[in-house]
Formats: sequence, structure tokens, C-alpha cells
Amino acid sequence: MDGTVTEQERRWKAGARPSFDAWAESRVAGLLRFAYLVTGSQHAAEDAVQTALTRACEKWSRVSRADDPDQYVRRMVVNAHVSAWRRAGRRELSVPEVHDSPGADHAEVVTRDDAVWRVCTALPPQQRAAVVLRFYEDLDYPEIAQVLGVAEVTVRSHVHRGLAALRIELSEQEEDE
Amino acid sequence: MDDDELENAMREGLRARASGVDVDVSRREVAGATAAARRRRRTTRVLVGLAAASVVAVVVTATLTHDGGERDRVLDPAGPSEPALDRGEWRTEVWGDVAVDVPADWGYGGAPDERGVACFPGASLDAAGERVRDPRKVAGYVGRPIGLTDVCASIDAGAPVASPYVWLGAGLPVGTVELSDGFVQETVEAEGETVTVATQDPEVREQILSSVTASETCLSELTRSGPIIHDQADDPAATPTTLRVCTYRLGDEPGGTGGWELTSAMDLGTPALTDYLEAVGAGEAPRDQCPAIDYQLTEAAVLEVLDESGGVLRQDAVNAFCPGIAVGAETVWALETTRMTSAMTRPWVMGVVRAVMSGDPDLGFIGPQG
Repeated sequence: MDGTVTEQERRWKAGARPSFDAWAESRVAGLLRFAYLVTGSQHAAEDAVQTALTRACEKWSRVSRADDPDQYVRRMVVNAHVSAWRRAGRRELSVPEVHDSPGADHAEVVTRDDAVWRVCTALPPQQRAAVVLRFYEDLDYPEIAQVLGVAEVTVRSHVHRGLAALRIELSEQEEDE
Repeated sequence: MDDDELENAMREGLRARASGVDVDVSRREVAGATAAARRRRRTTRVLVGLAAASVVAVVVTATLTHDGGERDRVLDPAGPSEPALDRGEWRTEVWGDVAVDVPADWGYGGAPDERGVACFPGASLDAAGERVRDPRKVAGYVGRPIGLTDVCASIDAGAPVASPYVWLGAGLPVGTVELSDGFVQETVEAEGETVTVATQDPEVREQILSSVTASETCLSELTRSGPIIHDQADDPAATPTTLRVCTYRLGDEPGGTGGWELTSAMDLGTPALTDYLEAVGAGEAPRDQCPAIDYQLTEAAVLEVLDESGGVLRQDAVNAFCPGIAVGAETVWALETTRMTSAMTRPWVMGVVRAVMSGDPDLGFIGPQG
């Protein structure tokens, strides 16, 4: 999410409760990006966000009263994806795309970004969600623990494993080069 | 590469990937699908002229229910907590898989079953759950095809209409009919249930019908050994804020081997929850309350403890026949229960729940009839 606070959001934070439509309109793009990183595919991201928004809409009178409706809905996105993953018998496999590199200077960055994505897509859903919440949403560990409904120590373990996997991936990449 | 560089690589990699997401296309897809989902939850109304159905007072049974005196013995003098779902002048009522908003001051009554008999086809209780002496003095009522009274009557198209009503699950075909005194009755089908609305004011009728949605509260059906757990809270450690009461009756299948069907759902708010949890917390250790009796549980209730977002933190199964509550139950019929006390039932039984459950009158249920 881009971090820009609109006048509307300032009013919400000041106590005026947003309508669902207004809130969803301002959040859907950020949620889709977040969901894409968590799920690994555009289609799954749309499904997860749609499921989360439908649920949020149905419970809006309660969700909107929460201190942070965004956190509730992010949790719903993660849960929607984890549930779908379990229902599918854990067969879902995301295939990382390979970007075309326009030039040599850009190639290193693209290669590294691809390595990040390869690592993320190989992580189990909850681990991946922890990594995304930490490094994309910039949440701290207690906040991530709340979103995922797990202990803080579990979140630290997830993030640590994600970084360790990235370190190995990048090392192997360097060796190949 | 040190730790900071590694974290930065992760950040930049994720940002780069996120920036490539086609948000505009996805946004349209999601908006369209979400709107479609919302539309699906609303009913499609079919307008056809069909035989009128209104009320004529033909008493067909004459047994009596317990009332007043028993209630006074178990209810807190301060009265029950106000339902938490009331939103100003409207409240939500549930039947099976369908939920509908109705004016908050409407009472409760019966609705006709497949035979056209209702018990009673008028307001039997007011909005606060108190017995009504004159149904015409209630602004309107919500009727279900269950007995809030043993006074039953068949319905007739030509009879005068005492007050507006919403019938949930009535045995009526879809369609619109004109009744007497300017009342128009419209029946729609949603989520496999009928919703019938009769008013003189078309705007009120429209507002009620447009609120019909799929119920997202209690499970609409239970089986004896099937799980009752659903919509679990995203955070199991969240603060409990509301007590929800789901009442069920055994289905009509021959031999009574079917499951239990939802007859009402109501959220009671924090005060009722606090009282209930305190009473259950002080209860006896669980045990089989009826070790020597073989019985059929024809009615059941599930009490759900909810967090702020409506997630279910815990479900307790109520056995009114062998009075006990199974705390944290996984099925509706639990063998070992905490012996039920009036302190445990006071927050949610008579005067609060708009359904009939048989059981010990001292615990607030309807006692022996006749």
C-alpha cells in the first residue's frame, strides 16, 4: 500500500466510520497487490480479495468498528488463501515468471528480484504471508502475529526461514555466475 | 551479503513484483464479482397473481403454554439485555439460510405451514418478548411456522389483516396478492426459503424485501454427530464481545432421523455474554445428566461466543431435555454436560429468544402442556 493518507482516511481515523463501498474503493488496489504477493497469482489474488471483501461487506457493521479494519481484511485475505490452499489438497504451485532484461545494468536487479519471488513462491502460505507482511507491508512482529493468529515467535521463525532461503538462493545464483 | 542487504533485497523484490500487478483489470474483476456475490444474496422476485392468503381465526387446538408466572421466576427484574444487532429502527431476523431486516418494534407470531395453519397467525409476543393480549396493538410481527402459542388457525384470503407482517418459511407459493384494507402480500424465495411480506406501505415492503440476504449467522442445519463449528474467529485469543443464540428443531423426516433445522438466531450483546460466561464458569464439572434415559432431542440450541468481527470463538450446545450445557462442544448432542442452572439460562431464554423450547420451566423453558 502506498502509505498516502487521504482526507477521507483522516476522517475515518478521527472516528467517522466509512461506508463499505468507500472503504473498499480506497483499499482494493493495495489489497490486490498484497494478495498477489501472498498467493503468487493474479487469479488467486482476485479470488482471495473477493472472498475477503464479500465477508467484510457482510460483517461491515462490526468490521468497521474495529481499530484497524485493514488488519481484519488482510487477515481475511490470508485466511481465504490458506483455506483455498488446504481445500485444494496443497496441490497449488505458483510458477515464477521470468522477466526480460532490457540491459546489463538492469539485469542484476531483475535477476535478484526473480530470486526473491522464486523463494517466496516456494514458501508455505503462512510463511510467505509473514514475509510479505514484514517486508512489503512493513508490519512489526506483534502486528503480524495478530494478523496471522499465531505467536510472535512463530512469525520470527517464518521470517527467519524466508530470509535464510533467500540467502541460499542468492548464493547459489552467484556460484552459477 | 549482510542481514540488512538481504532484507533490502527482499523488500525491493516484493515491491518490484507488486508493482507489476495489473490492478486495474483485477479491480474490475473483483468489483464485478463482489457485486455479483452481493446480488446473488438478494432474492429475485417473481410477480405472479396467486390465491390470496390472509388470516381467519379458526382455533384448532386448545392446549395452554406456560406463561407469565414461570417467566417471572426466572427473569432478572431488570429484564433481558437489548439485542445487539438492532440498528436503530431495524433488527435482523433469521430463518434457515435467509436473513431479513424488519422494523424493530414488530413482535413475533406464527406463519402458515404447508397446510395453511399458523400458530398463531398474528402477533403472539411483542418486540420485547412479552405476551400480547391484543394482536392489533402490535405494529407488525415476524411469523415463523413454529408454535409460539398452541392457539392455531388456518388462513383465509378474505379475512381482514390485523397488522403488517413478515412470514419466514411459510408454506406459500412465490407471488403477489392483494389483501383487504390495502394490504399487499408479496412472497419471494431466497436461499431455499420463502419470505412473505404484507404491508399497506409499498416502501416498507420494498425496504424489507430488499434486505433479504443469505444468513451469515448460525449454521442452518445440524446433524447428530456432524460438527457445529463454523466461521471460527480469525484470532482465537480475541476478546469475546457477543453471545449469539441459535435455536433448532428436529426436521420433519419420518422417524425423526433427520437433522435439526435453524428456527431463530439472535445476537444478544456483551451484558448477556458476561452474565452467561460467569454462570457457566461457576457451573459443576461436566457429566452425563441422564445416564439411564434413552431419549430423542427434538429441540436444541447452540450458544455462540463471538468476537468483535463476528468470528466464533466457542460454541456451547444446550440440552434442554436433560438440562445441561456442553461448553466448547463440537456436536449438538454431547453426552457430558455442565448441569444447567437458571443463572445460565436467564441471559438468553424467555423474553429474549423468539422460539419455543420445551424443558424445565424453572430454567425458563416451556413446561408440560395441557
